[in-house]
Amino acid sequence: MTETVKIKVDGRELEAPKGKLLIEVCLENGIDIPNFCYYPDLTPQAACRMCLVRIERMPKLATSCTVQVQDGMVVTTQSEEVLEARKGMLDLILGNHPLDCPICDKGGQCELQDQVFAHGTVYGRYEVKKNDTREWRLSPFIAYDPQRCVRCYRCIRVCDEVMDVHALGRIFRGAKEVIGPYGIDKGYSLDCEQCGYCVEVCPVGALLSVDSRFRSRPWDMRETITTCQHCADGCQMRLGTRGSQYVRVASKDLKGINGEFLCIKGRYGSSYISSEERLDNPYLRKDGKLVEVGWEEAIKYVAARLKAISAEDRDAVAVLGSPRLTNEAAFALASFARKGLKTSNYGQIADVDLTRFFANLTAPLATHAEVKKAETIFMLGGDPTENNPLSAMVIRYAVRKNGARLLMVNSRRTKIARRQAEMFLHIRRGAEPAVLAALIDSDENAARYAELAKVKPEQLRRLGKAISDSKRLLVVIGPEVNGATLEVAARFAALLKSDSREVKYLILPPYNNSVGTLDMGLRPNGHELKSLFGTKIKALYLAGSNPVEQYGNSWKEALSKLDLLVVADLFMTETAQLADVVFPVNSFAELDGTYTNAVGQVQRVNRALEGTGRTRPDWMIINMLAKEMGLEFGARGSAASIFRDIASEIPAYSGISYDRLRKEWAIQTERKISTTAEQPDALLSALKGEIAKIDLSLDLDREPVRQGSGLFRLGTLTSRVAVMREAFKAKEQVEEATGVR
Amino acid sequence: MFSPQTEAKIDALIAKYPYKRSAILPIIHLAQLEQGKVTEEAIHYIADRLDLEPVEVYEVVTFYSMYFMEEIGKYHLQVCRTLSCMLCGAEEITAHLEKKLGIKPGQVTPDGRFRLSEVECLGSCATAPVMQVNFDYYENLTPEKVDEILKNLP
Amino acid sequence: MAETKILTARFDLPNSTSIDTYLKTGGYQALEKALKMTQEEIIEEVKKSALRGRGGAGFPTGLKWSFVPRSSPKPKYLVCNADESEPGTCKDRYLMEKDPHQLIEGMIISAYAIGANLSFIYIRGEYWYLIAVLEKAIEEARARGYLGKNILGSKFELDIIVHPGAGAYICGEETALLESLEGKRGHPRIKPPFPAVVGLYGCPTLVNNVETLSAVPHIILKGGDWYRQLGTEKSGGTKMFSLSGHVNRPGNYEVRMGYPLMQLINEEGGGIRDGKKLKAVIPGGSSVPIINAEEAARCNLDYESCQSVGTMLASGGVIVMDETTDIFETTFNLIKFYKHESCGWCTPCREGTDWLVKLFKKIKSGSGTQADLELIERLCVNIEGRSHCPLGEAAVLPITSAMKRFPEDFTKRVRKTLPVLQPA
Ligand SMILES: Cc1cc2nc3c(=O)[nH]c(=O)nc-3n(C[C@H](O)[C@H](O)[C@H](O)COP(=O)(O)O)c2cc1C
Ligand code: SF4
Ligand code: FES
Repeated sequence: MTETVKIKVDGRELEAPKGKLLIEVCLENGIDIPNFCYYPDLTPQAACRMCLVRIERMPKLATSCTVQVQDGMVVTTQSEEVLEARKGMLDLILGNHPLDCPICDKGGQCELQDQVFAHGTVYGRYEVKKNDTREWRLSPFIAYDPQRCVRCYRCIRVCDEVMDVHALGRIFRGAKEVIGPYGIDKGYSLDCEQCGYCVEVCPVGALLSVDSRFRSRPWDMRETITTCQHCADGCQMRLGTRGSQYVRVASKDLKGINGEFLCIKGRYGSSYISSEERLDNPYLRKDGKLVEVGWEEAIKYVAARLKAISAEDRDAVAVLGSPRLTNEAAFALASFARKGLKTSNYGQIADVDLTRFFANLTAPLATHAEVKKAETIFMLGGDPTENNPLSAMVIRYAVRKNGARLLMVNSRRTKIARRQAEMFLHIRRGAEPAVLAALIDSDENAARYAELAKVKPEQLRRLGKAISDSKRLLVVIGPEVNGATLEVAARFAALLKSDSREVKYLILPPYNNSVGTLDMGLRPNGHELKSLFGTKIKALYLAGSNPVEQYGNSWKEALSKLDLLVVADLFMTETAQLADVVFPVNSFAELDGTYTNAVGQVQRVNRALEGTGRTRPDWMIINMLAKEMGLEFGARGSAASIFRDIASEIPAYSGISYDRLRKEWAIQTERKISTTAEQPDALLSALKGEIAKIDLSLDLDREPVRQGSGLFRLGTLTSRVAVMREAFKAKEQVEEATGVR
Repeated sequence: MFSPQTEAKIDALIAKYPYKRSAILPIIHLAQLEQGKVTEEAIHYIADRLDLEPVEVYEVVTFYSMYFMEEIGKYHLQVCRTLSCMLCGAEEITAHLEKKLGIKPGQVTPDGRFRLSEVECLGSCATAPVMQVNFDYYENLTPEKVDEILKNLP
Repeated sequence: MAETKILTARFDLPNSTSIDTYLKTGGYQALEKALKMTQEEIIEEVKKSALRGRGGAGFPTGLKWSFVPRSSPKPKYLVCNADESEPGTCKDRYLMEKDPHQLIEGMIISAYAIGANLSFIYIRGEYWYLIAVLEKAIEEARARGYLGKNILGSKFELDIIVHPGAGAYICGEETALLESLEGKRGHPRIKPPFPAVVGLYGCPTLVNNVETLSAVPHIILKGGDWYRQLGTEKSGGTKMFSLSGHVNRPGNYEVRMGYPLMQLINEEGGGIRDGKKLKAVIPGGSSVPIINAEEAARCNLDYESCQSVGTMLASGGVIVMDETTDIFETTFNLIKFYKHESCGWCTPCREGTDWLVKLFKKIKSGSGTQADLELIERLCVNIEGRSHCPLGEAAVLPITSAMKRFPEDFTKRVRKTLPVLQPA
């Protein structure tokens, strides 16, 4: 327990934990202290000198962003002297500031404007020419205007401390200093994850997002809080729209699970919603060609065909969704298939099957906030930096702020392994079951497992020791852990839990709603069903998936064997082009709904745009089809009412409602935790088959994971984001041409 | 990247300090001495050797006034311009050099032989005015002495 | 009275840098004595000597040593500040060039006193030629068992690394120096914690100036009381003064603390050049207030006396200006220096020095007004006491003092203006 101290600020008695920063104590107690370089959780700088206050018995004004409170401290924040110092500092900052607020994207949301308004003088004193500087394009995503920069170094610190990317530096000295990447003066680009966190924390309009520049003034834009549709972390974001158009995504001041964090996809990956390529009408294949038709015609056609095929054999109609659908869409799809069509062939196309994980879970899932507090983190596989960036961020936070021990086992040299891990066991690809077995089995067999994994027995022993030494353990399981190994991984916690040790899990599935769509009943059986196309299965209703782009020819061939292919999607994808009928659907920005993230939290998707009126939510298309076919499956007329059904039918969701979500933002579903005692032998024998599959001819993969290997990959959605497509196509071409990564 | 002698010196420097990053300033000096400026290749090389990002080396290079990423020329004539030297005639020395070489401070003669710089206090105030040519001090200067010095440079 | 050569006693000997010369003249005897003393005894002796830091701040050296924790789970370091970049100061250079062993001996004793086993000499990059001088001396000392493991059989171990800077005045500031020594840009750190507790690599670190450390062997050998009586009650010992500017014999002179300033100028320095009259003196390096001839006449070279005439002793760089000097020009010269050397970290110093230079330029070009002078004063107020490190302060002291003492040099350059209309 930290000691509490009493301090006096402007005559007010305050209590605070000893050693807390004075500025934090003041701000929490409603005492306004202007600041730029202070930032929660980042190292103190004392650079901007805005936060000066008078502290008794100190010779000079003191920076409240660096002073830690001590008992009996007497502070003045409102005297003439302090107010004068603030004015003076603002004078100095404005001296070289361009005052181009009317054309600055930050105008109206600018901390400098606010501070000048609150603390500055009315009269600008400096009439000498301002330093000329030009604007730099730091990357296709980020621009920098040094003249507006107040040198608070927040950007550098988030890049160094929070992101561990170290792409930004202080370049040149004194009044010439600018913030930038290596070789800024030569026009070199930022070599980074392009997360835009630096833009987010910039108090002024010095760092800017290129994609939203000059698109809208902040007050002229509507911001809707919604959930990111890219990865399973499920960050909250503010989607800014103007009229019917996308403007930008921001996260500032959001109290969601991610605070101000967003990755490149979250921040820049949503503009496809306003893409010209969006489908705006149903398509029907006539004379071999897809032509635009009205909804009625398309629905009638599909209904008639499905009815005919289903009449012969119910199981001849298959329904497949995708891990990107909302819970509401997935639930409607599953109900339609199961209760309406009464087919047993429905599910989704996905690579990771978490069914066995959830069925055998022996410890709860940790929220991101809980990950931050973990004391020991054992990661079996996974590359969160590239694929689950918020998870990576909170893991780094645990390491940086709390000195958490990060123990990593991975077949690839991921960035987090290279830079954050205390222990990194670089293993043979596919050898995860051997490592798991080594942790379960007695020491006698260590040598054998070590050989299988291509590590030293000593390393396995040290790993085992670190895990058994832990008090609050987080077990992170990467997507390469599959099948029986995944099941054992889920049961593994039962062996570790004790009165003195708390164990939680974090999984890293690939898609935004991998967990939710599974909960809704869409099993990841797409690849299995594919083999029945053309034989058992004659018709397929495919929602939100583009397997041809993802998996290539094998899917293309399989799909061509079908009598009827119906695709519901945003774009005329490679898969949609093969369809008999294509339905245009609403994007996440035009929908109400929910996603369930990797840690099992349900979060709202809020409608930000009206849409054109000619696209439909997935669930509504299902309703229309069912109605036309005369099928009854319990259709509902709104997302909210579908969610009520979800809450009453699916135990983990019971008690959750849109009403509660409005207030609580993210509500964690309650998973069934098995409490039966596990026997090591049972787990070991479950692993046997998996261990036998390890390919001993494989050498270690020594190639470090390249920055952007996951983040910069263009998929169906992101390839329709202009700024990403241009940036990464060009980059790929250069890399291919030069062979330099 | 560098001559074997320089590489050996760099190895020795890295080994000398408790934390190798500390060796960065002397290593950049060595790189500049050998290549006549701090090259981009050198920055990448140093970053690699010290486990830093290139921007971390670049930050350092651009902070210190003795490092140059552009050609320095064979002889870097650095005339001190700070107070004691100014009081003793530094301006006259600079003007003399400007006229003689036909360049302004910050410029290099077309033949690449001389670069003229005005620098801050060289710590030679009691023997002002002074100029440093590469690493050598020339003190109590007069225009005549400057002519003599330039003449005697190999 | 004249020079009192303690630190400079060997300067004129032939081969003054060689260890043989040093040993012949009593060298390393202090070390032998110190190794038989306890750490506390050494620190006590230094406290008694009233030695104050010669780097500029004048902090009592013994007291500073006592701040270094006696026992520490982390290693401790000693860093010799040889950055010597304060305009007007050029004494450390000669202490290293002429008598490197004196410094090395001082460092060994100091390191022993605080329990450091590794030490550094952070030398400004421009003094490149001194690296060889120092390294040769270090080799000699190592060869004779004064450095390395088990020094003189005492089990005490020490090594010295000579580390060049690369052109940055701010790296003389001790925490910026440590950042630089760690391989980073030279931005000053937040204090507290002070280096004595959290310094180099996060470990307790003692930073002392070359001259301070060079005085240590004498204090140990002859006693703190002996050293103290050379100077005044509160400013013990002798000090080197770098005399520059408009004097006949500029140079480095070692005199007792409390030596009259005018005597230094007139006797050691041979008086003002060309028989001119004295106009102004900066007695302690560019960062201290400038004084006029009348104040100079009342000023003795010790910390207290300097303070009494409104200036500071600091690093002892005495810059002399004769009656022909234009104080506007000299002030402009210095503010350009500070702008160039501002590390850019904090708003007041970075922006302030930039604006000051612009305003001085404007005035120099002839288009300055009275309002510009008022603005300069206001800028100085905005910087003073509000910057992150003392450099910001150092930048304004020369200006405010010059404008106060030589107002006519400023006012004659500007046009009178009507007061600018300002909202109430
Ligand atoms: C801007 C600035 C520059 C400084 N430059 C030097 C310097 O060049 N040499 C030096 O010894 N101390 C310099 N100092 C003082 C050091 O910070 C520190 O006080 C000194 O090295 C301590 O040694 P001492 O106690 O022996 O004087 C400087 C201080 C400041 C604020
Ligand atoms: S006062 Fe501020 S900008 Fe100036 S040198 Fe010190 S820290 Fe740097
Ligand atoms: S907030 Fe304290 S100095 Fe910037």
